[in-house]
Amino acid sequence: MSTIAAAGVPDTLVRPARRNRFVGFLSAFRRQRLGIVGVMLLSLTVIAAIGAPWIAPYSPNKIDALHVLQSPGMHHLLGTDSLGRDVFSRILYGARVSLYAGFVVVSVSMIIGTAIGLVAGYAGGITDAVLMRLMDALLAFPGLVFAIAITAALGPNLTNAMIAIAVLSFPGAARIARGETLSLRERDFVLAERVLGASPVRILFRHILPNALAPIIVLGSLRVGGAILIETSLSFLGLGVQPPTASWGAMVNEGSAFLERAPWISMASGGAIFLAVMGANLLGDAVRDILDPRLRNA
Amino acid sequence: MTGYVVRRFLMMVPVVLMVTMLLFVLRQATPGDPATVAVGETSGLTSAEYEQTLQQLRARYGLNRPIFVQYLDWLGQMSIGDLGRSYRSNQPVRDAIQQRLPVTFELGFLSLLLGWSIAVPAGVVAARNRNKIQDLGANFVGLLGLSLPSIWVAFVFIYVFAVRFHWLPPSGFVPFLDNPTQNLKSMALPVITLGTSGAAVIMRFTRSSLLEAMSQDYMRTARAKGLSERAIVWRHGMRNALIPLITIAGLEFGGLLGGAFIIEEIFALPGMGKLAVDAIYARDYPIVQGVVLLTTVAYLLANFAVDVAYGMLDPRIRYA
Repeated sequence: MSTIAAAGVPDTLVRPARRNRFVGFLSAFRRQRLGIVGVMLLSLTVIAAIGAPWIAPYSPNKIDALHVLQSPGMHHLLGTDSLGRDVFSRILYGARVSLYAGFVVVSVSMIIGTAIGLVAGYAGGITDAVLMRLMDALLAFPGLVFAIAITAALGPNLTNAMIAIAVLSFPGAARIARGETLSLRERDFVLAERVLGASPVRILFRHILPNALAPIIVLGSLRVGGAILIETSLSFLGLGVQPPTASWGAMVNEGSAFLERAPWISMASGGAIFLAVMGANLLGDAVRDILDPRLRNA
Repeated sequence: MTGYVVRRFLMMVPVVLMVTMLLFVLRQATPGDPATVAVGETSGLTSAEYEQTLQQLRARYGLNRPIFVQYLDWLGQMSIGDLGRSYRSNQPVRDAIQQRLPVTFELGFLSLLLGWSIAVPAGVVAARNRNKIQDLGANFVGLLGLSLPSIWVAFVFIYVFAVRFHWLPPSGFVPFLDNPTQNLKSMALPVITLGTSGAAVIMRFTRSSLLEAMSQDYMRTARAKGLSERAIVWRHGMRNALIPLITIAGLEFGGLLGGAFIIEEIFALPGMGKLAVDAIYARDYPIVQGVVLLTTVAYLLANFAVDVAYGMLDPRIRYA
């Protein structure tokens, strides 16, 4: 790119450089101390989710009628629940559902939202108007109420809970992607590309998308914690994962009936939610500070 | 100003139409149309008879008409406040909601009051002592508040205050008019849980928007004039910091509505949220739909009010 610039092409015709962006991001991240704490907390969750079959001392669904509501101790690190299942093992397996909601679902909805936003912003006109009014409508619902309504209508199970979380996440990405597309579309380097005869698809993916990515990554990383909270709330209400599959929200609910005799069931699973969400929030804040310092105070 | 309000109101129309369409689509997606539910009660039919009855009932309920006509019909009913009847009790949904509304209203009002009266002063203190111990403390508490799941906080409170020390009832509800003291006692834990859950966001926003306002040139002027610190912070700083804060108020209201569903369920408060959650378990969809519609409309109106307040406080917005 420097050779072209040297040949007398004005700077505005050169697409902003993006080489070694990832390396630059990593070196900036090393200075984010709270972000590193967040990564450590999330790593714990990821290790729990992936390593559950090897780490867990018991099968998460093994019922043991002789050892019901045992308090934490040597045999059961975090005690047992009302069916004698090992709480620690269930928490390890429960990490899978929450991480799935937090990372897989949020990533997928960022991709969907970005695609919608790119199309709306680039096409303009009636396509833009219809798509964006639809996004406005989706954003007009109070989040958790809408998620509850979706799972209630479609039926309570994991897939529908994930659909509900995705529906809450992608309109925001669409709005941002559209905004970025609208401003990038008019930039000289895109105009130059169009003059050279590039197809809209090429312009969108090669030139607009890479430059619109930063705010979308920021939004996505800020949404992870909230997505985990919504998943656990839905599971708590029995609208997410169905028993006997272990999930943190459902465990808090199961333990609530035994708060007096066995407080560790609700307390431990709730604590797991807290640590994972805090990790996600710390990571999200750090990513935002690096990629989008303008938003630091927001 | 009137022009701005009218324009803003008209902007809401397409969104409201889309919202109702989405709710209608959700209603269509629910398993079992009213006809199936009605036939389900009459047993001992052959499959041919069953089909025939189903067809007759569909015709009677108008379910065989084009979907768009059904939508308009449904919209017409909803807009005159006819939310249908409960599948289970046959009670009009509107009456069921009206009975439960005061509880949710009390919970919401007290939670808002508590949340804002903690968050705004905390945010001001944090901003005025930027990077000092108060600020770091407030940031830390804010981070905790943002990450603490309210389903967990609620049970920690119940465990400490009800199970361990028996200071407050773990759940249940007493109407205010029956016994004001008992009412406030039964509301204390739900209000603290719900109120503090939103406080973190409000506090962070108060801090950042006050810092933003304090860095403006007119603050230097105010100082140069020799105004007291108090006047500088509240009359010049806070007044300008209010504008972004009001936007958050609208968004937080949405969080409060969702939170009420969970909190009412945990503390067995007979409010609108618990009505809806119980209805979900009983597959009583008209109730669920009525509550969702009402909360969504409340949220839309809150955000409309926010935009109007925005225009009142900041003339620049009116002409944009």
